[in-house]
Amino acid sequence: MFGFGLAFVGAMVLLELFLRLSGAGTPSFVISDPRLGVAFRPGANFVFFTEGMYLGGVNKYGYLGPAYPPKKESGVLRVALLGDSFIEGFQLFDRFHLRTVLENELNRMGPRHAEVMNFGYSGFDLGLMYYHFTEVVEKFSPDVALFFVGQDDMAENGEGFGPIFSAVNDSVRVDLSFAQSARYKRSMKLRLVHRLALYSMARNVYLRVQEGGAPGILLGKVYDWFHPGARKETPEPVGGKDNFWPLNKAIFDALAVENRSGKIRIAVVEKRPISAAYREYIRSVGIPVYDLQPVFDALKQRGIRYNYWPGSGSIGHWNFNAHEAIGEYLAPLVNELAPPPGKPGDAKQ
Amino acid sequence: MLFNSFIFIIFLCVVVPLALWLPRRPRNVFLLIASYFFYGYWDWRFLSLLFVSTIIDYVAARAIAATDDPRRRKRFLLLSLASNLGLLGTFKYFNFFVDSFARVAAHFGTNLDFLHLNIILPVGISFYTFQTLSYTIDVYRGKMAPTRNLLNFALYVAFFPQLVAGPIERAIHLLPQVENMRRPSRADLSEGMALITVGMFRKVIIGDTCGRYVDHIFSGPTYYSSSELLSALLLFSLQIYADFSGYSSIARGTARLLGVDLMENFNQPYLAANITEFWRRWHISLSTWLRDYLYIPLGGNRKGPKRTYVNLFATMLLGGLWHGANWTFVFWGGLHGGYLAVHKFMLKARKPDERLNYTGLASLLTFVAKVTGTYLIVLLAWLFFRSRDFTTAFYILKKIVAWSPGGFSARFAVIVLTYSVANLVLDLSEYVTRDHAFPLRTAPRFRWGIYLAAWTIIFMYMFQAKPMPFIYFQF
Repeated sequence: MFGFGLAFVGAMVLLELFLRLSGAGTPSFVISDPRLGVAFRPGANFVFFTEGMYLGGVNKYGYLGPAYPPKKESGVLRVALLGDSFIEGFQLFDRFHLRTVLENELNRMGPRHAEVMNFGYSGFDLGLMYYHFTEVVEKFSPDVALFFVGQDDMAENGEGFGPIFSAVNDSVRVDLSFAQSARYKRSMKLRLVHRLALYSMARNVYLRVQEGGAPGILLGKVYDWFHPGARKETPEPVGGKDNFWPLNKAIFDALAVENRSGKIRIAVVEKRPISAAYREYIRSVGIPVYDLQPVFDALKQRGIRYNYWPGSGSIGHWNFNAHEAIGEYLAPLVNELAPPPGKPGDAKQ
Repeated sequence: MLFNSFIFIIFLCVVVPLALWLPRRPRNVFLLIASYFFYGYWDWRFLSLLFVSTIIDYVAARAIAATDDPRRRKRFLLLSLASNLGLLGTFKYFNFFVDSFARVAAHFGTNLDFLHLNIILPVGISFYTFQTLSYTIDVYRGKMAPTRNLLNFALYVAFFPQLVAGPIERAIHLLPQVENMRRPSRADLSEGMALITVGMFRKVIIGDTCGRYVDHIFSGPTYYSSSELLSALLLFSLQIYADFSGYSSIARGTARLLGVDLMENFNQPYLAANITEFWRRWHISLSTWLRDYLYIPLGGNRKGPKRTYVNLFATMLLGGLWHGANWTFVFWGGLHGGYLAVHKFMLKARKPDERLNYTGLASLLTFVAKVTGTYLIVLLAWLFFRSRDFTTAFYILKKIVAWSPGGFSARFAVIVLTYSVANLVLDLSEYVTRDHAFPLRTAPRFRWGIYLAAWTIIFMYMFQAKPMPFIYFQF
């Protein structure tokens, strides 16, 4: 039995090493955080495959892209990008991400040196974006913050393992009780185990089982024969979820206050269409809304499918062409929006 | 059905015990039904092609053996050749030739696009076509007598472990085993298990994970730097080897669980010290098929050196075309034909070295240099094999030659090195033990610990990732 155990453990250690070095397995690059729920692990370096391929990591400050420190150099234009997996962009290298394209374009336009920071995080809804903005992003003194949202982000996306937001008297209330939960405490105890690639693989299996995917994976077509259509994905709900309106309204009101302060300019970018009611309200409180649909339409006219990934043959997040086009599209808008150099209070209207 | 899917493992867990339990005759019936289920699981409509191929070759071989009239024998051989190659030509090459012709015609202002047919390439057609052809040809040559039993012949054609991607078995080797199907011994079961484990590890953990990098980089080479493109090419060389040799090991292991011995298909090809030896170690069942049924009938090396070079070149050109209906495959075959001809010229009457004959450090260094040189020319050919067209292939080649390192050179170097070491460890284990089922060389208590670890990770990966088809399925 000892020999068996020794061989098993030895082989598992070698496999862990192989997975890490080859990128065949990715150790968890997120950590549990008592304030944020989950956050990127600073300094994590990994390979990630979804529709595309990502190679890179989290910088030492805990966000994606180059490590710009919290203290901003004078004369620098800082732009923060907030959003979900579309902004996180784990489908392509940072050098193709709209962050880089936007930064390069802004630097080309001048006159100020631009630093664009990627605060995207998979699964972020508007509430989490806003909370992340107030808790993390503002510490980096951005001049401009772009919130990439779609109607789906107006509803709560989270798994209930993080802050819970509600609107109380037209302001945003944050409930951090998750940090007292047994699940959170368990995850804190296991935080070293989380850093194993093998654990990540096992967790993915667990999640697939939890989602009910096991019969389909195990039985393949045989499962489909007896459950026709069972594995079809349910379409995303279209339109707003009215019960989130008070919360979202409170968030946009709070962002509008920030906007009026003159320290920072905030804009909403429609990564997917949002309802007319939302758009009108956001504009009414003085926050510009940039629609990306014309960018996608222009790509379509050129025969480019903006969300098709030939490497995996799948359709999903924005591809190389889309990131490039979005970055180029946003650059003049951001330049226009940004406060003039040296006059943080004189933002253009 | 893919070997690297859970449904195959379930299928195996049902089929193997039942086959062991059944007496010989019903066992063959059962295995035939299981084999048809295995093939029909992908698309049952293409079972008809398998039936047609089986019936024609069964009848043709019997008719050939039934007469001494050379013209009549030849007529039946031609019937077999025409029907098998006709099926292959229609399903695999019709659009290729028509499209190539249409492109030429377009230069003269004629539109022939309407000739293009909307047809699917049936999985494994190149493999079972060559397998059945070898049977009729061997009967025609008098190397073997035809089988009387249609059931056994059908099982020989459709035997599921090797049906869709080989090894391309000769009837002379497989058919007698099918006719006298024996119960597997304990040693067979152990060896089968070892081969399946090694094969699955190669295919799922090395091949598939390597393939993710390769697919992404080759699908958009303009986005990547020289070092990333070179890494993708190196990874492809490892992927295709792990993928195909892994498949072959699983096929051999599965057959072994049923008491059948399939031929070796790979023998550490990247440890070959020259290109001739490489082809003795890579896809052995195809290279020996091409040798016996194409190169030798063309005259082999019996008609002088010049004709030998031409024969080598022509054989490899057709071997390239066998791999896929694309000029890049033909070019790949042509490159290998050229390599072989040049090596033949350099060798003259000498026999190529096969294994390292260690006589000191100098001999080892010479061996390593030869192995590296062989690998590099094989690598160059893989570029054309993997690229979707010549424009892409030459773009990648130019970019690699013009060398400009990208941001991830070091990371990719680690990735390539890790995969190479993993592959090398497996290859050296086989090379040193001269045994593909090398885990059997360890003490059982260690072996089962290693098996458990390997299967844990294989299952976890299979569970979270969509199974990647075997590269050679498309051929």
